Amino acid sequence: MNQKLGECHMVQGHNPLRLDSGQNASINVVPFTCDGNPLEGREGEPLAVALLAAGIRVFRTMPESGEPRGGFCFTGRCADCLMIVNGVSGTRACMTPIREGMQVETQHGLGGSIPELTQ
Amino acid sequence: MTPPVLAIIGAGSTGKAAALTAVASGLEVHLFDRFPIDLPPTDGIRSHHWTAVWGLFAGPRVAASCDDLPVILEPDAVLLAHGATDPTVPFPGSTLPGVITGTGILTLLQRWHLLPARRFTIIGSGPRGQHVSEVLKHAGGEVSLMVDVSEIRSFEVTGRGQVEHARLHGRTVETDMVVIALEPAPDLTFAAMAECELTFDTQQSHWRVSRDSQCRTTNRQIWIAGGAAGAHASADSAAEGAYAAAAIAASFLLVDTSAVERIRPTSIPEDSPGSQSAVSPGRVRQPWIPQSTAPIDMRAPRPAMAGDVNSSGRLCVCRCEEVTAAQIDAAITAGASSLNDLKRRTRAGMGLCQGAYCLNVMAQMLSEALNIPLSDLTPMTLRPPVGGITLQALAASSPALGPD
Repeated sequence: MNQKLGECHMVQGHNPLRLDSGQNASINVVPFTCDGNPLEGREGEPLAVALLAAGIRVFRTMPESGEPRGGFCFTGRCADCLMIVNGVSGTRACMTPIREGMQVETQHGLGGSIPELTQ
Repeated sequence: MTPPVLAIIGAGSTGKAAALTAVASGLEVHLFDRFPIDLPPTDGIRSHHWTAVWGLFAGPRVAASCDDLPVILEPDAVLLAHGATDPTVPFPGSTLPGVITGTGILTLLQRWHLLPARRFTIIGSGPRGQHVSEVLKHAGGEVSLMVDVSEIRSFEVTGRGQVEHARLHGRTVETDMVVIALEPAPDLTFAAMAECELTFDTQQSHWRVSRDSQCRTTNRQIWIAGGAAGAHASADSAAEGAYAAAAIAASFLLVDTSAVERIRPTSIPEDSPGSQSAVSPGRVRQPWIPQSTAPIDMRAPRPAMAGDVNSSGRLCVCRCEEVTAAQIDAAITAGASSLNDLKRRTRAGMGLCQGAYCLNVMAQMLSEALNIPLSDLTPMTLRPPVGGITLQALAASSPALGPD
C-alpha cells in the first residue's frame, strides 16, 4: 500500500529498521523536506539513507524512458540516486550529508532548466 | 626537505592501513573518500571527507570535488585503494527501485545501521551471496529467495514502479528488495583512465590492473592495492594497503626495502629470482582507430530508435544511458566488433558510472555473439568525469588543471 505524499511516495509495509536505535545518544535528528513534505533524518548521514528510513525509495525518473529509479550502489558509484538538492540537480543522494532545512526534490529527467543559463 | 606527497583514493580498510603506514614512513598523505573517514586526526594525513574523485590525469593530478568545491592535487604518487565493484547481470526489472548491489546493502547495514526493508531476494549463491544472506538475517531481514546466476534467464522482478515480486521458474514470491551479490571484481575506472595496463584474469574471468611485486602499475606513479586490485578478504586488503604504502615510501628512498619485504602479504607474490617483473613496460593507450570491420553508417538510426524502449520484459545493460540488451544485440548485428565500437554506437558505458556496472555484461554479450574469448577483448576507454560534476566545480577546477 502506497500513500501519496505530495510527489514522493512513502511505502508502507517495508518496515525499515534503524539497527542502532537507543545505542547512540549523540544522534542529532534534523528536519528536511522532500517534495515539500516534512521529514526527519540524522545529521551527517546520507540523504539516501534518511529517505530509505522514511520509506521513500523512488529518487528520480530517467530522461529517456521515464522509468523510476532508486539507489542502486549507495557508494557514490552509480547514478541512480540523482536528486535535486537545494535547487541543484544531478546531486547524488547517497553521498550528500543531511543538513537541517535541506530542500530535496525528486529529479525528473535531467532535472529541468539551468537557471544561470536561461536567464 | 618537504616529504613526498601520496594521494590515496579510498579510505576503506586498504586506504586507512596505507595512510597510517605511509605517514609513519615519512610521506605526506592526502586521503580521499566519498564518505566520512573514520580515522583519528593524525599529523601528516589530510582526510578529504565526502569527496568524490572524478578524474585522474597525467602528472599525476587528482581531480575531485566536495560540496561543489574543486579539490585538485598534484601528488608525487597515487595509491588506488577504492575497492572492488559489483558485477551485474541484466534481468527484467533490474532497474526497479529496490534492486541494489551487494556492496550497497552491506553499506546500508554496516556503515549506516539501516535495515531498509524486511524481505529480500539475493542473486548469487556463491560466497558473496552467502555472506550477504548471513548479514541480512543477522540484522533481522528475511531471505525469501536465493537465485543462482545460472538461473537468471528464468528470473524476473516486477512491481508498480518498484520491487514488489520476484519470479523464478514461474514461482512468484513477494519481496521488498533484490540484492545482486555476485563475486566482486576489480574496479578498473581510475587505473584505466591513467592508462595503466589491464590484463584479463582467465581464472577469475575479469580484467584486473597489472601490477608488479611492489603493487606498482605500468603507470609508474600509480600503485594499486586491496579490492581495487582483486583482493577478496578485508584482512588481505589492510595488509596490502600497508605493504603498498611501504613500497611507495621505499621508492622515494624513505625506508629500506628489507622493511617492505618484512610486511609482504601472501596475496602479493615475490618476484622469483632472475625473472622479470610481472609487469611489462608501460603501454600507451592506443590512438582512436575504428576497430569494426563494417563501416559505421552515421545516417542509420541509432539502435535506441529501433529498439524496444518501453516494452515490458526488456533487459537494461547500461543503467546510466538506458541502453537495452536488444540495442546491444542490434549494434553487434550491425557490425560492432569491439567494446569501444559498441560504446560509440549505443552510448553504453558512456554515462556517469563509466562502465562500472555494464562492462562485464557488454563484454559477455560481445564474446558470445562473435564467439571470441573475453581475454581477446579490451575494455572500452574510460574517461573523466566519473560520477558527474557541476559546471561550477569544473570551471573552478580549470585553472589548476590547465588547458589540457
